[in-house]
Amino acid sequence: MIQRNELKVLIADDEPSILMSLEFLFKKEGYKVLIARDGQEAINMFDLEQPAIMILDIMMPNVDGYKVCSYVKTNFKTRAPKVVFLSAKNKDTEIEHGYELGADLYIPKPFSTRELIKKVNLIATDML
Amino acid sequence: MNGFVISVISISYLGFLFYLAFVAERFKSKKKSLIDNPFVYALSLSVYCTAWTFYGSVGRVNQTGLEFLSVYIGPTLVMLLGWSVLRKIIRISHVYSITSVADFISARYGKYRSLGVWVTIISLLAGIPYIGLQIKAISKTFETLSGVTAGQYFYQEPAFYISMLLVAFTLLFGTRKVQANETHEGMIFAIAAESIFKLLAFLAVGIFVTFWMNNGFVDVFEKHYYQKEIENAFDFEKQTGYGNWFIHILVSACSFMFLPRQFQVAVVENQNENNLKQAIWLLPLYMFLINIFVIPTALTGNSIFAGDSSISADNYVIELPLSVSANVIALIAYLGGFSAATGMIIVETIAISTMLTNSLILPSLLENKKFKEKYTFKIINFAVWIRRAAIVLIVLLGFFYYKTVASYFSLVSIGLIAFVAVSQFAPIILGGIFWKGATKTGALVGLISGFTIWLFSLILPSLLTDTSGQYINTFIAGFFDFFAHFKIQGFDDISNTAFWSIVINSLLYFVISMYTELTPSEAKQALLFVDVFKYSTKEGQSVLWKGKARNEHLIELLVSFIGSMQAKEELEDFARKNNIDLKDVTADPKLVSYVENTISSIIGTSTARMLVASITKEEVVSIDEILEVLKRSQKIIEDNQELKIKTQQLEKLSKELRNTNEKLQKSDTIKNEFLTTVTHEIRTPLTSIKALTEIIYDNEDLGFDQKKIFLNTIIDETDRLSRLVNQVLDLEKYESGKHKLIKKNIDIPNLIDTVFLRMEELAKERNVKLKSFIHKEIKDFKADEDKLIQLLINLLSNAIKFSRPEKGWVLLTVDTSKNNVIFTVEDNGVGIPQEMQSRIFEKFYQADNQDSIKEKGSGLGLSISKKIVEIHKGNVKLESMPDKGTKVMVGFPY
Repeated sequence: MIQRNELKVLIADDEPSILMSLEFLFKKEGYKVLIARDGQEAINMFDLEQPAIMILDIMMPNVDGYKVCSYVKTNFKTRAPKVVFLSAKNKDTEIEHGYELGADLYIPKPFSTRELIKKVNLIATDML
Repeated sequence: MNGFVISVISISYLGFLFYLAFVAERFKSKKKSLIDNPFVYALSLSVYCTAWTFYGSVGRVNQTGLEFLSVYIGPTLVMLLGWSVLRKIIRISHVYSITSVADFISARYGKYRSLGVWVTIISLLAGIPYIGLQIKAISKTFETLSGVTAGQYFYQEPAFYISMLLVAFTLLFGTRKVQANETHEGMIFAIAAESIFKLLAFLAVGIFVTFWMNNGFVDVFEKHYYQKEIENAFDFEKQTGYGNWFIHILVSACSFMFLPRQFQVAVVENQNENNLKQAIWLLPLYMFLINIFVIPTALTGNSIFAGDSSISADNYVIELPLSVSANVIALIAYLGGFSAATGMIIVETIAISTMLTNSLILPSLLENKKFKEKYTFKIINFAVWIRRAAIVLIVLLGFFYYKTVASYFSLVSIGLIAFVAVSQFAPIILGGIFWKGATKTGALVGLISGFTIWLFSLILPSLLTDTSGQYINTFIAGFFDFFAHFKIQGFDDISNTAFWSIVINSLLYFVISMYTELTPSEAKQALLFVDVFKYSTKEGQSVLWKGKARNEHLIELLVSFIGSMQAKEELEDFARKNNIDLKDVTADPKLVSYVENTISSIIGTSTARMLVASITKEEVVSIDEILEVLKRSQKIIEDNQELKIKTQQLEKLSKELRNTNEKLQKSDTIKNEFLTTVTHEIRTPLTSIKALTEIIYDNEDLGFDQKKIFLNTIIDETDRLSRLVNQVLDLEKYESGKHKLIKKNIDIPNLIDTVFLRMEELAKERNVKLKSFIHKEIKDFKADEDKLIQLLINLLSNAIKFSRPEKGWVLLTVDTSKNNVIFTVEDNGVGIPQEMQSRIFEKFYQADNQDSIKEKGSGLGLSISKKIVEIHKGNVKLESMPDKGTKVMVGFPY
């Protein structure tokens, strides 16, 4: 059985304070946390580390969260990571678009840390 | 002066007129008009001022003082008060293709030929002496100037050759190949030039006499206003009275409109009704200018030539310069009078020849059945040759009159006699355009009665007296003695005749019209004339013709007048516009009217009427039918106008609506985008605050340092939030115009200190060096200090944020240009890529290359900065090179 601390979670956001809080939260839950400050960094990191779960902001400089999602979901079908969008974009169309691209979860900002952790944990449990 | 030289100069002057006329005709063939403007129109109306004005006014001052002005007051009043009458006559004449005053009158009374004939005869009888008078003026002044008396025979007289040159001019520019609706562009342009010339010439003489021979107006009166005659002339008590003034004003007003040449220039040659509007003041101005120096010239002449009966006051204009050997001025005076005389002869000849041809000779020829059968389609050739012959005849008659009869009358009296004759047209024209009940019988009887009175009291007495002033026999003496009973106290002969003839004329016209019935054709023309503004537009008229006509006949008739090329073009155009098939055998009534109207403009309404009647089978249209048609066409015109107005209103409204809608939509989109962005920008710090607070709450075991970092971040994010809210509010305030500018004098060094103090910390943090430089001392620069500080802080903090990590510097300089105080903020930082430079002032736009430094502003700073500059009416300029640095310049008006 694989332990949760063997699961890598990649967090991509351009807001330092959000990164800071997410890093703290997921480390505390026992995940191995990777950090990216924009979309391009997230893709590079994915290629390098193959994280199991990606927590993506959408509005990021250079490459946005949507693009990162469709990159990982189309190119790596069988071993694609689970994708969780965490975004201030919370119009119905935007959320739908996220799911269309293959996201597993879409949580609007501002989010509840407890709920986020609970839901990500559920996803992780499925993978274990 | 040498007679030969004067001849050469006179002929050269005429040559110049030929040249001007050619130029105008050339322009016309290029579809440009030199005469379609109010100035040329007003100048052509000034053909009213003839040699009589030029020489005679001065002469008249001697006899009747200020009364000489009455004949100029008449036209001035017509322009100032009666221009709407003139406009109506112009409109009628344009719509119904009227070619002369005779044509106008006969057309009004059912195209009644006899009226046209009588008007032509009266015009001829009044016009020939008038032309003779002009020739006399040319001849006499030639003699005065050259000092040579012409020989007894006509061929010894320069005036004869001058007359023949005028005939040539008139033939050339008055009867070129006649075409529909064609005006005499060249002639009118030459006439306008003559009007300028005669005015300048008179002013030259007047200035010479008043300022060179005397010392100004005051001096003239001091030196010369002593003679008995002059005092008498200027004394109203001793003059014949106001009655003469009134009558002279009246007849000159009538003549100004209805003299053949005046009708020609004012109505027939009018290019555009709108030209009248400015002529309303231009013509009175002309009249004023040409009369300024009349009295000084008369007074000076009277005193200088006192007792010399060989010099007539009519010649003072030339004699005065000659008396002091100012030959050049005398020559200018001669040429001024020459231009006045020639202008009159040319236009009068064209006008009368048109009448003779269109209203007298052609209709008479067409009365003859054989002639009509043979020449219906060749009338145009007759028309041209008859008119040419008429021109030669009229000028010759004028010359003949001058040689034989003219000595019986003085310059002024011939003019006034003509005025009285022409005034006989006034009742039937004015009545005709305002009163539908007037009949042709009334008009004819009125006209003939007035004319008879004129003939018997102004013409015959002079002809029937011998040299001693006695009537040639007792019967005639008795006859005239009887009429002497009708002499009104205080009226001179002219006024007396004018009064009686016009009164009797009007009375008979009115009474007989009341007792005679209108025929259908009279009723039709009455309606069309009186209600011209109602039933016709500038472009077209109502069709009131009934009967049978064949297309081929109509087309053949039209072709005979305007040639097959032009006819084909015009017919096709007409057929297309009116939906007519020209291949049909029977013609549409519209085409009949069209053809009649077109050829009317060439040979007059009466002749055209006869021609059209001769090739068609006409039926009488009853008055009821006419009224019916007119009512319909009026309704159409009204409906069209209403529809046009409605459509215009609707178009305007829908355009406004569209604009407003677009604006609303645009501002709506902008607002929506703005709102979305703002919400997003607010959510971001909110998210951090919420997440971090939850973490602190849920993790009681958090280390002290960790907790401190989190709490500090929360504080920062809260600050960011409140900053954002403030900026959004600021921006809203500037955009909606709710801001208040509190301008005061800015102490620039002090301002820089304040700003730098507030930037110190950030600069130190980023290791950036802050520098400033003031190029010039700037005084009296007014701006809103708080906003200026906000702007500079925005610009400086941006510059600091994007400066390079090593050896970064930011420089603030202040300088002035023409009207601006310019603040420049320069850094040696990362620079802004070309494609982003134009966008960085947009709201929430943040250059993509910011992320490396991760310096998140609200994205509103530059927008606000730009707004601050804008509300100061200043401007912003940006220069940037990636990796070299950025330079932002803001200029404030100073």
